[in-house]
Amino acid sequence: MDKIEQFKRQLEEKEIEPKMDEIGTVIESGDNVVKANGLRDVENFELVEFEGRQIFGLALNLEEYETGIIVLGKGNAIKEGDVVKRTKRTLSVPVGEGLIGRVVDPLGRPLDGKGKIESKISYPVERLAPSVIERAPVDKPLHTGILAIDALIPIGRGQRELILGDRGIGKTAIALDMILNQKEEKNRPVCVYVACGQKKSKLKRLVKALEEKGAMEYTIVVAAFADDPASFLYLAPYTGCAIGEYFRDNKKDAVIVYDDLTKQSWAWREISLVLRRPPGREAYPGDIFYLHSRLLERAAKLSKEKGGGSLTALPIVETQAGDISGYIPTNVISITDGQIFLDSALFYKGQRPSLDIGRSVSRVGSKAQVSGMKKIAGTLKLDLAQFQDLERFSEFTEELDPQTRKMLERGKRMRELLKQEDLAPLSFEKEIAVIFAGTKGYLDDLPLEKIRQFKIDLIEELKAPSLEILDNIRDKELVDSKTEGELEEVIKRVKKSYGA
Amino acid sequence: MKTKTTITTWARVLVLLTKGQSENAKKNIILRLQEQLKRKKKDYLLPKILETAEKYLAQAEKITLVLARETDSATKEMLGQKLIASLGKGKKIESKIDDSIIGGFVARTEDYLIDASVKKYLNQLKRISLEEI
Amino acid sequence: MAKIIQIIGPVVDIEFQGENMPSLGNALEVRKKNLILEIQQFLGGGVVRTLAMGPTEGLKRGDEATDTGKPIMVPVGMGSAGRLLNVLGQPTDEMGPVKADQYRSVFKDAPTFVEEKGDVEILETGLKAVDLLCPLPKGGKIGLFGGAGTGKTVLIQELIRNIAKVHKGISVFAGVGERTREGNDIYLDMKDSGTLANTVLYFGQMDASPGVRFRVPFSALATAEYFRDEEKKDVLLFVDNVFRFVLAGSEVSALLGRIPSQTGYQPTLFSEIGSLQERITSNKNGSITSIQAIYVPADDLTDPAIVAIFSHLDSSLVLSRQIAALGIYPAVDPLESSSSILNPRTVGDRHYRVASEVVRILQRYKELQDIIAILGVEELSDEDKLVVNRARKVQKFLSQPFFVAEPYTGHPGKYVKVEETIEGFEKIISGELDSRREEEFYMKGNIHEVINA
Repeated sequence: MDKIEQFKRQLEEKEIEPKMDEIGTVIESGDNVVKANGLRDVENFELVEFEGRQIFGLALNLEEYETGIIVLGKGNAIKEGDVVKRTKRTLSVPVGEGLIGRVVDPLGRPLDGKGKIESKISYPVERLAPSVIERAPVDKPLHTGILAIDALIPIGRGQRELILGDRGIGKTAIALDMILNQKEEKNRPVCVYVACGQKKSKLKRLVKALEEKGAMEYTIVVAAFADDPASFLYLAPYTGCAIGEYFRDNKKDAVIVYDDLTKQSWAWREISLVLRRPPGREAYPGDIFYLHSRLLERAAKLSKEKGGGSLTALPIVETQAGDISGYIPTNVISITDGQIFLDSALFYKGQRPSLDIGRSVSRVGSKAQVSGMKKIAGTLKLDLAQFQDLERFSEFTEELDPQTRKMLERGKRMRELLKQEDLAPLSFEKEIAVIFAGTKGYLDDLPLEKIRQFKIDLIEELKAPSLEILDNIRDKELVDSKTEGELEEVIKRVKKSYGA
Repeated sequence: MKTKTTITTWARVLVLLTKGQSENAKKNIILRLQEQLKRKKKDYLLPKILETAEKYLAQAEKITLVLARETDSATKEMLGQKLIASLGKGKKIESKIDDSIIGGFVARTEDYLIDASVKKYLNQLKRISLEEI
Repeated sequence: MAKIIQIIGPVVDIEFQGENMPSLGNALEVRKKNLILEIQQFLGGGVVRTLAMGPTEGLKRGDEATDTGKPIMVPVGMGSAGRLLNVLGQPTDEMGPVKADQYRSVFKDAPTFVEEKGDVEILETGLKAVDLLCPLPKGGKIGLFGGAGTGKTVLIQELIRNIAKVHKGISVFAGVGERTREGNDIYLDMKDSGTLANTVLYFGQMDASPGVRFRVPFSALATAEYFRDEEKKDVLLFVDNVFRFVLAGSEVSALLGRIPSQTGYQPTLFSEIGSLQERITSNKNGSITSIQAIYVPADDLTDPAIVAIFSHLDSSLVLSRQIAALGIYPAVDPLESSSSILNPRTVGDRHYRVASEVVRILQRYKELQDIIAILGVEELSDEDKLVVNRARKVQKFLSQPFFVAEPYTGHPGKYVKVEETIEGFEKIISGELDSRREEEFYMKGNIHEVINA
């Protein structure tokens, strides 16, 4: 009885009054683009609603006698003569803590069947990025939990780092590992994962993995599926960005993954061509660069005066046959602060993650590493590059001097050490301990095949409750002399079990 | 496609030019249009243009009033007056009966829509109830 | 009073009632949105087509616009030095209004043929690759061409540090369509190093609408021209990145009703580039020395925009991804880079001789690459082996540690005078250093660091 009283009262509070709507009439419709007359006072980029069809549209072309509208939904049911209403709202989405743990569509509507989205604020989907004066240099690390990245291509909070590679070789896996790794991080950032053009089954599996590992406690998913209209794929990254910006603007850190921007480019190309805007290179519209630049510029580190929050962006772009000179890849490379390039050849050779260290870079670099990592991994990238060059060169040489031979053996072991499975991110203190063992030469006398197991055993040993090594490194963010001694002890102990 | 655009553009131009003109002036404008079209060998389009222009004019000047069922003329008259007052003077009311709106009325012009039907009311109730659950 | 009748993206059509039509290039203001629209075309029937200098979301048909009577006007004079300005010349550094002596229009005619200065001298940059192979003429223009991630911005930052710091005139920096983060880095850097006081900074970065990116180089240029013509100063103009200006033009071109040309570019590509580049020049009043970064889309040097820009420059530095992958920074491709002042008359016999020989042996090395790949170095003639030996040393010696890159490379930066550069390469090609290992030449300053190592 109580429930019914509550219900009744809530209903009474809602106002249901007929009001006068400003309308237009559909005169042309096809390919999810509609032309309507009327709508005289509609604003540019305003949300409009197709009467009786529960579908929204976006007013994009305000021509002298007609209005061009892209349909935010499946437009097949819309016909000539249908009524289109103004909503008097620019396209905006609900933002805030209420979004955490939810899966939403590009309009902010729930897709996970868990009820209404609790939100008191909306952010416009299109928004200007922070200006020159509102920013501060990136100085705090974003730990991905992937050894090769955190050591060699470190990412900072507020940076944009591109993940690039052919299909199916682990781009999404890197993003997923990064999200999972945030669980135990200090000052854990909110994670936003934008699935743009994915299969529903793939996203389902991904969300399940996030739930099982407890990552949905701090993650928001925005989804536009492969069978959604192009307008959804075009909007999804912007929606995700607005959701992430809320945290950035409120003194918190957030990370956003755009998986992937290639599909968003295709969607925008489709919409532009249907709107009859002339095609350019590869039939993309002239503003394809601007599509991504204005999106990615919104990821930034804010100055202290603006709250010091940050939004880090990890856009994913698919290459064709490893060609990084393609139009979209080079466009996005010229926007981001670095790229992580995954190589198919390495993937099929069994090197996971298949990072091509020579072609990957982080322009923000070591400024964003904790000092402990910087100390032991500082020259590692250059050293490995030298090693690779040497390996290629010495392929044809029989006689090698001992110096060169040592370099080769060390390099091979470091490369083996940096290999890592999926879904097994390492917290930064474990990463530091592992790399410490490698760069200090403790592995030089271990057989190459045993390195992988050694890594696992070392970490197991270090997890022993009696040891404070990992906690020490975590608190101080470096390996002090006392910890160094203790760490060496453990390393030697584990090595003994290998008969070394 | 191109012919259709020609027709609709001329029709619009005609509506704009003849607004508030005397009958004589209107006749002259139509004659001039005919000459212009003859010059371009498109005078066969004139009837279609006139027909389209009429349609535009009619649309602009009418208010469509939809009721669920027949009502007495007094109620219709009062409703009509109120609508003309708020949606534009000098317009004519065109009534229709459509029982799918269940009750109340729907009034529509080229630019505005007032949906005061029982169907809409019930739909809104449904939407709110679902949200509350 | 005029009203908006059409809005498509950044292109807005406005209808004027009555007689007084504004002029082409005038700025119209939509007060309720604080937005400026610049007139691009007259469409007839009292309608003008304009380009918005900001976002057009929220505008509607029927909104009013007023003619300001003039084009965009920016503040000029020393009052603008040390300030961060946007395309409209408004301050964005939160330090109050700009104390301007005058306001100047962003449009101006380029100097006539008669007014152009004829003679040139070299402007030392301190970078070996630049000074040797594509020397920069004082009052001239150098372009830094490169694809994504080849080091253009780092190179421009190093040149700012080397030249602007010692430069006794004034500098103008135009950030056109590049990263806002880099804008922040440059601003803070200049503040720290003291260069800010003599620099005017204009930014219209890659988050801005196309109208802004299209117009901001002109705003910066108006300031530079004022210093050159009225205050008779020597001006340094940095533009990062000229390609983005062209790209902005192509974004709006179709919306302005033009039929697209090659690769989808605007048919007005040449005239747009010309209208900008011809004003960046020196005359009898003073000089504008400009250093322009140019992004090469998809690494394609035959891209129509790139081809069009090349012809306007005195000196072209081409950065190559392949060379960057070898770890050689600056990743200058010596065989694609050139300078119009690399002749005996301007740079002197010795410089010319050394530069020519360096290019010759690098060209020869390139030709021998295939033979080396198949047969190995051992199969070459003795003379060719010597060429390869010296060429590889030359390649490595062209690399140089930058001051601005110290945090990444760990190597302290080096400045090398022109004479030292010539001396260094002369010693290599003469054979004096044939016995040295090639790694010794990598990431060094002048030749004495190699000799005394």
